Amino acid sequence: MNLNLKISLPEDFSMLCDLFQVDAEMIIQKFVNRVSFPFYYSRPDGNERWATLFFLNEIIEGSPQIQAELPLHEPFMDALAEVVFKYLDGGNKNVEKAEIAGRKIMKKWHKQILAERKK
Amino acid sequence: MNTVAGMKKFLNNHNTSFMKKDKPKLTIPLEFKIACATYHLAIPEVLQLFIDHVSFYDSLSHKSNDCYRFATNTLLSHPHPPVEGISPAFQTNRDAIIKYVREIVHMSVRPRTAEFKRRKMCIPIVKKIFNLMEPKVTRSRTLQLDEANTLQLGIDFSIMCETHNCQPEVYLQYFMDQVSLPETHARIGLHQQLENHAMAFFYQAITKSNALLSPPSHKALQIEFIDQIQELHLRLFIVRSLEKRREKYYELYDNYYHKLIQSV
Repeated sequence: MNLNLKISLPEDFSMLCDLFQVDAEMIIQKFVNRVSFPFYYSRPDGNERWATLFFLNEIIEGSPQIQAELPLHEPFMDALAEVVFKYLDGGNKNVEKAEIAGRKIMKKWHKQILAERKK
Repeated sequence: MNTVAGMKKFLNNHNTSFMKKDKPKLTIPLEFKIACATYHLAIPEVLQLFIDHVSFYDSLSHKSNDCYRFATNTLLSHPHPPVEGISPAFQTNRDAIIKYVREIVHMSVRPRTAEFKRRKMCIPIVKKIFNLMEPKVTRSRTLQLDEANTLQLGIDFSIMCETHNCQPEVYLQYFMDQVSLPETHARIGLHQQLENHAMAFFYQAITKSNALLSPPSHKALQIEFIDQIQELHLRLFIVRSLEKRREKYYELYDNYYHKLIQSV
């Protein structure tokens, strides 16, 4: 999915990009690539965990809307936690399996919530 | 205590000496040890602070919202078996004691007086009650915590024990049993906090106690732990079961505690 983003680049961010010759679009793309529950929860101590942690930090306090919908989310959150932690208890070799299993749950979760919101 | 019950108790406690047969033994729960170690607090100091903040005045007046309130409420929330009639300790001087209790209640509604001042003004009256009572469960005001440490039972704490005819150890145990950082964190993330006076008092104690000197090796462990717990708060967002969240926090705290005690 493509999204035509229009965002303003704050001076601090622009300066950093200039200083280290980092392409703004590229770094934002890299960031969004790593915002992923299946990716993060299958390697929670991995060194690419920060993007998802940033996202979690944003949602964790929960806007009133998130709070209101939590009962709908919770069964899927629990299912995701159960599946990824089960694989991870088996050690590092299960990272890929945990990620795939996690992604399956995310898809069901997404489908269910969108259907609920249309009601 | 009747003879049969006393004998049963004696038989159940056959490992302890006859003299100590009625004394409940204090067990310091692991989670309490972990909480004290996490904040570099000495266990005897926290228990002494708790004893010193239990206030007879605050058990009659419910207006304060400070550490006296939390300590006193912890004790009051203990599910006491009801004392039939007046407590044994107050029987001999019943009328005089009731008169002084009334004076305290009267003082607690004294207009234009700050609550801490009312508490202070009641100290002499509380002392009078203490002098009039005949202690049953607090005959000894020194409580042996372990081989190296003793606790001193204050006047207010003693009166509270006698009021409910309850051994001081029972209250101390009750306080310690409710202090759990994993439980507290697990509930905060789910917005399911329960009223926990013991925990509220513990948090107050952190600022009132003298932090123990910790070896430099603890510094690195501490920094690592803070990073880990901050991440855990976020990571556990998807874990909605209280029990499972509690387990995850417990794992982290337990691990940290063992590293701390090993690196001393």
